[in-house]
Amino acid sequence: MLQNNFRLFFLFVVGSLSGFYLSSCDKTKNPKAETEHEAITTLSLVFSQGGVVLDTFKFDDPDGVGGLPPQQSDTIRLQQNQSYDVRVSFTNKTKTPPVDVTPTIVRQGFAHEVYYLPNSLSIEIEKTDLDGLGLPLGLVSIWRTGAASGTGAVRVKLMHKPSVKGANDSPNLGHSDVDVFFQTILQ
Amino acid sequence: MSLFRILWLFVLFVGLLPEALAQTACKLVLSGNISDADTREPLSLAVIEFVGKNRVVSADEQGNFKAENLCPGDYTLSINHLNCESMVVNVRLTKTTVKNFVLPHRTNELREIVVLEKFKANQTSARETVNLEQLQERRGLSLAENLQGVASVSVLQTGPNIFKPIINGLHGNRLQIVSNGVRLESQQWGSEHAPEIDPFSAGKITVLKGAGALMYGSDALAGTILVEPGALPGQGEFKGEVFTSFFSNNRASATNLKLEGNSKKMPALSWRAQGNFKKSGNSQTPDYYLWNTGTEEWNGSFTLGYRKPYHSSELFASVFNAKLGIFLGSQIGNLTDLLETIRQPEPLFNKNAFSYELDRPRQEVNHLTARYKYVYYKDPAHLFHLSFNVQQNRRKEFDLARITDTPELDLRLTTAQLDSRYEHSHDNWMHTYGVVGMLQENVWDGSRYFIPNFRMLNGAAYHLGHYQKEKLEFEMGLRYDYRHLQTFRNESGIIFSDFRNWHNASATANVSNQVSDRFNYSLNSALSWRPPSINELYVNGLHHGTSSFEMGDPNMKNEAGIKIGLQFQGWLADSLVLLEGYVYNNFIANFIYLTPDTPATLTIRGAFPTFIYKQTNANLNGFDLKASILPEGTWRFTSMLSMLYAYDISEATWIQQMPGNRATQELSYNLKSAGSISILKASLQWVSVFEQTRTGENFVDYLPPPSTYYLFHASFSGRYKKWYGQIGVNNIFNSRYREYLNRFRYFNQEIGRNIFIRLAYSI
Repeated sequence: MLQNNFRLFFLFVVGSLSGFYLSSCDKTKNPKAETEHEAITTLSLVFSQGGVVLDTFKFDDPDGVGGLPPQQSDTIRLQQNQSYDVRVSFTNKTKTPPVDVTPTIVRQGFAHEVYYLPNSLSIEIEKTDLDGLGLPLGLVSIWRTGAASGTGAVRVKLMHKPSVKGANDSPNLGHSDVDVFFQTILQ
Repeated sequence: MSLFRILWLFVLFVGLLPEALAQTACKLVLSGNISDADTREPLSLAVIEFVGKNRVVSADEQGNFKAENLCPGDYTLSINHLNCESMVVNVRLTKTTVKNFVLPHRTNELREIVVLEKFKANQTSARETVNLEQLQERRGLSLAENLQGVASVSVLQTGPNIFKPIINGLHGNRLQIVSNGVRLESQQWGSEHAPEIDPFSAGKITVLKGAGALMYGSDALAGTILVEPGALPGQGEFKGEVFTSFFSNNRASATNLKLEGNSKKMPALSWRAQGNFKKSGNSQTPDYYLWNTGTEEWNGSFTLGYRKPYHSSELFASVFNAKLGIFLGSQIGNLTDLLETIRQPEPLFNKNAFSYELDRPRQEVNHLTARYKYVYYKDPAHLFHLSFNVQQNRRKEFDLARITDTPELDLRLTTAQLDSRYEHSHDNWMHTYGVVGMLQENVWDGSRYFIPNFRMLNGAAYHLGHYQKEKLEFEMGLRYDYRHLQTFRNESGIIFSDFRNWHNASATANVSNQVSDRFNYSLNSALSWRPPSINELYVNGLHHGTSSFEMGDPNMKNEAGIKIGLQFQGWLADSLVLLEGYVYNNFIANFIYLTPDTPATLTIRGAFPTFIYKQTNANLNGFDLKASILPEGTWRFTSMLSMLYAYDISEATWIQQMPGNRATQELSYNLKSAGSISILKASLQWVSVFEQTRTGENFVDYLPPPSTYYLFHASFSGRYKKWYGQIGVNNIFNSRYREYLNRFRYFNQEIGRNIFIRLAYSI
């Protein structure tokens, strides 16, 4: 009986240890890459007039949050008294090849909204697209510049706000997926 | 200044005691007879131990016993006999009393176990116990909440549903949690992670305040929490209990079923099965609900014991499963979001409604344990103990942003441990020699990196020597640990492996003495060390929920701590007042802490404050005091006070995120049944939590520590035959307050009034 008991104990130990090894050993030695796989690394603002693309301004941090600092942060240069059609797109460059995240945001439009907040500049920005529920989305917008020249900034925010999105939300509602300041010159 | 006022108030409470009420000096006698429950035969040479009083009385050949010179008050008696199941009884002594006890009979096969229970090591360390009756009053709550009646314990919260215990200001893997002999290994996963322990499985929880529970590990600089189930049933027994509880605030319910028995055909075989289910919805503050703060939990365990003369085996398996919702409003994207949230009187990012829905963000936690224990002895003076356990801790974090349905962070920590020890007792000595081997692996998956994969090996050997001469006990211990840690990281497809080794010795020395019937003390000292945890070494990234960018330091050194503590217990004012206290000083060299650093980290998601892990020399000292006024009769008044001074010696400033001063007063009315637990209890509790003013000059926080708050709780409980019932209300006045130790204090108030009902039926 005593021997049986001991044998049982031994079996338990050996059994558990081999289960342990079989299940996890290889995985431990081969970890996943640490970059934030589903991150947004790049924001592009494409300015056009009458279907002709005039300029593209970017904020780019190709290795994602952490690691190296952001590599590119453009200054937006616009003309006075103009109307621009603007499209914003989001890319994830931590993956090869880079992944366009914009369609995902369109698909989850009910939980997202893009905001454009000009500071010290005479620019009016109107969002022209809607999500599946008829609420503003902001991937497409019209920027109307005024007569006064000047230097300021435009803040672009992509807010994530599942369960609470409404028609006239404050730009502070929800959680910032993207929050970038573009230095902007109106001349 | 305010501190002295509190101290003074405390002294006043104790000093106010009307001496006139005290009538009896310590001259009471408790006598009676002990007999066998089945045969009614006197149990000769039964032993009665006055638990915590270091006093033992033996019965004579006819089972008669007599204990003289007792003070009035409450005693816990443990009655043991070779052929019987030991019995624990609470007795309130107000006058000279005669009491007879009958013990349930047990098969002879079990007797050696009973004998061995007497040689329990480590009784000299400062401790506080939460017994079954106190546990019953908190059933349905988390482990940390179950410990809130213990003066040394405070709670670190992440929202209304994640609780982590703190002992004397320290938490995480600076304290160890040992459940049924298995050390919980997942504590290195950061402060927003609650221990995966099912409090329903506990028959008793002991908080060891010293650092010296060397048998379980050497890195618990603060202390150890031992969660122990009750003993398995004796011969022919079959018992069970159904327990259910309801809470109004989050409309929570918890139901537990426990069954245990002893095989009739094979009296050596005993078993226990236990399982429970808990569900709760959104919590409610006095002004609004907190969206997505529900929980869902199911747990179970099974124990099989086989006990023969000279050897015994026990197989234990448990499963813990919890889904914990994280408050939606805590999900901030960057520093601007955080400052905006703080500016709002009510969380903007919230849905003010009740729901049981458990959406993103949430945590899903599993914990599996299996343990096989084997004990062998030829005679009780030589005992071999072998235990092997495996545990797997899994933690899945689902972030707010849904890209796929898989968790963004998925950690799996697997541990196998082999413990062996030999206990040898002779004369007044008991020696324990132990060897421990441990293998641990961590694998991460998902899309958000937190800590690397690693493999860890830990080997340790220890010796504990315990000496007892009458009322004086002395214990010392030595332990040597070797640890090898190998990490595996993948940076852009290239795999890096790195390893570190640690060697360390830890030591403890404890003395305890029952100076008289009215005073005893225990003096503890321990030298312990803790290697930096994996996140302190290697974390590098955004910490979601705290909106900070955290960076570890791979070159961090060990923390080494020296904790000295004195626990005392004394009767004052002719045994009307019981004064208990614990005073400690904990010096920690290379104390690891997280501190803000400049510049802020700029990302596409906005700016984040940068925090780095640093080391300093810290000194934590403080005390926990408890005064109970126990006049004759059924009333009882208890006053508890805890203070902690956590000082950073190198930087000459206070350490932040430490608990503030706390005081609790409780007035209760207890009606006791004959020699057993209370049958009726009404209690009123007043909790005061004072503003943490010890924050230092270089204090950096987005929001200053919240102001002092007071809470009132009331409850009423009763027992009738096989029934137990309790009804009560917490936060009676629905007070609005914020708690410094809640990491979500930036986002929301604490929860409001909570009415609860508990009901149990024993089979």
